[in-house]
Parts: sequence; C-alpha cells; structure tokens
Amino acid sequence: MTYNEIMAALLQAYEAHPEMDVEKIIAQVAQELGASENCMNSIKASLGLLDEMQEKKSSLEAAHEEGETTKKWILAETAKVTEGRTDEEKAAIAEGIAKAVDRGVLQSLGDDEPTNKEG
Amino acid sequence: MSMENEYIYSEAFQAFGDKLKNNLSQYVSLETALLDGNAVAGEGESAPLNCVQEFLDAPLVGNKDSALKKLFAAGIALAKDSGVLPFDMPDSSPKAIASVVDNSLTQVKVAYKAAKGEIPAEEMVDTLVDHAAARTIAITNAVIDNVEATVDVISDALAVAFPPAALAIQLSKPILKYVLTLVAPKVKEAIPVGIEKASQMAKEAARPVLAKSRELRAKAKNYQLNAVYGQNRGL
Repeated sequence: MTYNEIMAALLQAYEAHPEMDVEKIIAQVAQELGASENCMNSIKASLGLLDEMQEKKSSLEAAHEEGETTKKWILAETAKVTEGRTDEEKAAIAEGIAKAVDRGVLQSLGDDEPTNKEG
Repeated sequence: MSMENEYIYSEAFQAFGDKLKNNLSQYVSLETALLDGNAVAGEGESAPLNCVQEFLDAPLVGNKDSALKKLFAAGIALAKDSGVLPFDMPDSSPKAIASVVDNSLTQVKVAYKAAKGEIPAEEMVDTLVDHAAARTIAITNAVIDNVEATVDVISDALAVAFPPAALAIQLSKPILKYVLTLVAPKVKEAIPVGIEKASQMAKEAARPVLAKSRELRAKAKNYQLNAVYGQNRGL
C-alpha cells in the first residue's frame, strides 16, 4: 500500500462517516492496515499533541478577543506551564524555549552567532 | 510576593516574551519566504473531498481543523510504519509529526483564506506566527514534565518544532501538494496564489533579519582578515 492509498483510506472513511469520532475511525483503519503497537502509540501521542495545539490556539484566540497581545498570552501561558517550579527553573525553561526558536532561525540563515546579539 | 513567583514578574521574564515573539516572527518569515506556489501545484487528481473543503472554509481555529490534522498525522505515522512514506522525515516522533501536520495544514488554510480575501495579506505572517506560538506552548506543556529544567534540555526537546527553514519546507511541501489533489479545480488554482502572497509578505518581513545576518557575516569576515593580516604584519 502506498502513502496516497493510506491517506485515501483514512480520508474516505471519515468522509463516509463525518459524524463519527475521528479517533475511532483512525483506530479502525490503522487496525485494518495491520499497524504495529509502536505505530498505534505514536498515533495516539501525535493526536494528543494536536489536541493540545488546538486548545492553545483557542486560548490565544480568546485572549485576542479580550484585547490581549500574543506576547502577553505567551507570558501568561509560560507562567502557567512553569507553575510550581523554582525561579531558576522558570528562567531556564523560558530561555530554553527562546533558544530553540533562535537556533531554528540561525540554522535557517546558516549563521554561527545569534542574530539578536550585538555584533 | 513569594520567592517562587518573583521570576514571572521580573524584567527578564518580560524580555523573554519580547525575545520569543521576535524569534518566532523571524523563524516563520524565513520559512514562509521559501514557500513556492508553483512548486505545490497538484499533480494528479482525486475526487474533491467535502471534509477537506470544510476544513478550508471553517474558521482558522475549530474542530474541523482538528479532525483533518489528525487524519494526516495518522497517515504519516502509518506510512512511516509501513516504510512507504514518500518523503524523508529524519525525525518521525509524535512531536515531529504533530508539528509538521499542524504547520503544513495551517499554511494551506491561511493561503486559501488569503487568496479568497478573507485574511488581509499584511496579516498572513502574523496569523502564522500566532499558530507557531500556540504550537510552541503546546509542545512545551507536553514535554516539560518528563525532562530536567535546564536551558539545553528544554531547547533540545523543542528543536523538532523548529528545523532549518529549508527542511521545514521540504516536509510541508508534499502535504500541501497532496491537499491540492483533494479539492475542486477553482480551489486548486486559488491555493498557490495564496501561497505566493504569503511568501511575498514573508520576504518583506524577513528582510531585516537577513540584513542583520549579512552584516554579522561581513563583520566576522573582517575580523578573520584583520587577524590574518595583523599576524602577517607582526612576523
């Protein structure tokens, strides 16, 4: 079976039963295709993350509707996810998040030094 | 104020907010600038699917987004498991799969809405940045409990969501191309137009970071030349 055939099986199953829970449809198709246990676990974790992303997008949209900026939302959410941590850990987590994105920027540019450092 | 809450009220925390927003804008601009409408124009056709059209028509945040993204994520995981994924995905962890699918399908939806005039061109990059911010917080939330809270560990845990822009485009392109085979001809024509608009807007937004990068490279080169010639003069 090719990738396109796998995608077609998933999409057509959902198209035929849009009222059904999409996760049940996915589990059914995956089982029919003989997916391994590892694959099933990977799918479950990916879908969980997509739910989390969706939830955060809804939260950001609600913040915008209340007149909040994206920056303020980022700060509020980071404070939330680091709740209960020491100040040292909170600082490390914040710096780690910014560093991950900065590294993506630097790798995209092919640079060695952070772009927001004063040259 | 307790000692534990001191950091979130500090200047350093406020500066983090500015830095992250700025880094996300730079990353999304560099990535989106590489999108090419012509390169994703669909080859081959299937019958248009209602679920894909409903996804495109629905607001940018909603349950329709969630269902289609889940189907695509499952498709990638199943294809990888069977060894038939037709594009190279160096990291196929759930974090990578969810990030790639969320990013790609958001790009195609923003492009479609821009082509239809539902999103003003000047808001396209900001919309993609907002989605990247939500994705970043979601992944942070998911990984934070299982890792040590040090800068490098957190940064490494999130790296998969921010691959070099060229790799990010290499991963999203086949998904965008496939989506274009599942829509009606008019939509198939509109999406590449929207992608071109997004790419043009992103090129404008990326100009300052590209200029800064060139400036830093020139300074580094001059520094190297000075070091070499200084050394030679000293001999």
